[in-house]
Amino acid sequence: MTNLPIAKPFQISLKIIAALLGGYVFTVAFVSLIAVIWPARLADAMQTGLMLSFAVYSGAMLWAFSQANWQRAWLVMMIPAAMMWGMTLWLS
Amino acid sequence: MAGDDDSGSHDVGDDAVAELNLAANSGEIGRYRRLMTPVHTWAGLVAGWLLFAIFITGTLAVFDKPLSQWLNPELYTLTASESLSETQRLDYVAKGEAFFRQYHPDSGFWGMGLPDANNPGILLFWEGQDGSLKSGQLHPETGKLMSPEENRGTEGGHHFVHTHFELHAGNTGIWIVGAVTMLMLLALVSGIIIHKRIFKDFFTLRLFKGQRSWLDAHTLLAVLTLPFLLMISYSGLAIQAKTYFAPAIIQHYDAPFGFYTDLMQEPPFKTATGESASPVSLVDLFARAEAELGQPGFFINVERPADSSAMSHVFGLPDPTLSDDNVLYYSGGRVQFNAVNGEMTHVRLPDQQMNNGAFAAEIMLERMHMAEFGGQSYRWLLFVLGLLGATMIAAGTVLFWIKRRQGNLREFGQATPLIYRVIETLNIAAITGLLVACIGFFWANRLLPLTMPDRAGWEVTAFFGIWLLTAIHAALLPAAKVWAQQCWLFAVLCLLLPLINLLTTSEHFIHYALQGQWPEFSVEMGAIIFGVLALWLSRYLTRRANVKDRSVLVVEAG
Repeated sequence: MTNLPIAKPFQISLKIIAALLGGYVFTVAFVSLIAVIWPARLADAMQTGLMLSFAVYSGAMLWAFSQANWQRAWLVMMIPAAMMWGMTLWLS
Repeated sequence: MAGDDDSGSHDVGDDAVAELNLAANSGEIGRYRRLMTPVHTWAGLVAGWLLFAIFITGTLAVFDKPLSQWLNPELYTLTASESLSETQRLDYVAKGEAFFRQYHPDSGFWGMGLPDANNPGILLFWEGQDGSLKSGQLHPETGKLMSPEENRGTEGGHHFVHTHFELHAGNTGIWIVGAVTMLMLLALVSGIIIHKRIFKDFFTLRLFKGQRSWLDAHTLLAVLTLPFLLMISYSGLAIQAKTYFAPAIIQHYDAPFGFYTDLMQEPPFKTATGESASPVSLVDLFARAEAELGQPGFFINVERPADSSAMSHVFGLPDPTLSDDNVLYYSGGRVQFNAVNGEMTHVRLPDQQMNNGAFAAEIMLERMHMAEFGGQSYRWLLFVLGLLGATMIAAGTVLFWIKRRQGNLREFGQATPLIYRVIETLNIAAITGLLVACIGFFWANRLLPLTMPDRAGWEVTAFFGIWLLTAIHAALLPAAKVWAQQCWLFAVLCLLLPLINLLTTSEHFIHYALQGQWPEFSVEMGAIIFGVLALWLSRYLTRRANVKDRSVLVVEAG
């Protein structure tokens, strides 16, 4: 047991918030991008993005958790989110 | 909440297992597993408090209609109609229309559902002066609004639907339930990652061995119900994705509703003009829509009836014989009208297929989540899985607590004892407290005076009030005693439910059985079964609480 790090609830809480909120922003950017790049008319592409949203959200959160600390968890959510958002603006 | 390690290896005799765990926990995968463990523990705990309530109310919501029959006995003295003739349908629409035009001409919304097997009155909805949605029933014969003696002021079984998806808190509630469900999905995925021995643990159940039993129960139930848990959480989230990801929608549409009409390839949604107008005859619209659909109608609404932008929709009755073969596109069709000049603006024919897989996916998820196909056997399956899922959550919550109590973790420094006490209180209120509140709702339904104003609202207030009282009870007394007392209270309220029904309505389950009123009969039988189980559990908890009183510190160490 001593080899395992003792849980630090505050650290963990900050990481959960980073994953929840950061992952949310990440997913909003993803759905928005899918709406313009999926090969279908806008509404159908949007619906595709919406149906995929929670799988992407879960994946994003797991990725955030795999980071060493909560600051990095925010970074890996926000940088791709900003890139996807930029692409959406550029394409639409 | 499999806790901070994987297999209950706190136990001294399990050194070998602990070694194996450490070996498995080294390397990249092991590192990830270690990172996921506290995530599972804390996401599970925080979500668990509300998830138990969401699971129990959702489980009850599977049978909302039978529950409504028990909860509104006066209404169901009317015989529910199996099918209506065209003359009857148009007569009922005329009665509803007359009521709206006389009493609510300036309302923002009218909606009217015709009597069917589940609901014997003409069901009306309208927007009140304060913007809230009101409802009432007209007597099909007289066309008069039914009095509280004919139609009890109650939300009926729908109370549990409301609590399940929005906690009676509107949009705020939908967001809270969404966040908690997302944490559940996360707890599931992280639980799968940290759990290495799914197959082996499937056959492992060590009963009455304290912590190990809780861990075994938690993992066994979770593994057993895993497909259901993943399906129910993902579908619950996905069918509300339009709400949760509205920020993505409004990057491409002016309003979320614009996306919906575009998806359905309907004319754009109109907004209020402020010019007053009066809608054409609803009976006429209804008859034309039925002719167009080739199907009886069952629901008609008018958006903004007093405005020149008024529009009306008539919904065709879905043909139940089609539903099993055509589960994705099962729909009775719909006709849209300009309600001011009567022009037909859009038609969706019955069973018209949408050329869009993602939309079909949403319909499928919705039908699975809401038990809209597969009949009674699927409903019972969801009911049983819902109860098992709720038990899994409760076991995880208790497991969290046992680990904290027997370990000497100082997770929160000086504040640790206080925070643990708060967590313990919330655990009790979330589990036994919620159960007491649920059965308390049935008691409130029988005990509140029939004629009191806003009676339906007071029933809901009683539900939340009782829940709050159980939390206060848990905060004031020692935890072991409170578990036992609340469990006993739940048992007694369940077992005496048929008695209070007999005293207030002179009805009882023998009479229900003789009359063939199986929904009402099943509600009382269900209460008795849950009561007997809870009584047995409360006796076990009481014995345990007494043992603790004799200052045995750690009973669960096993």
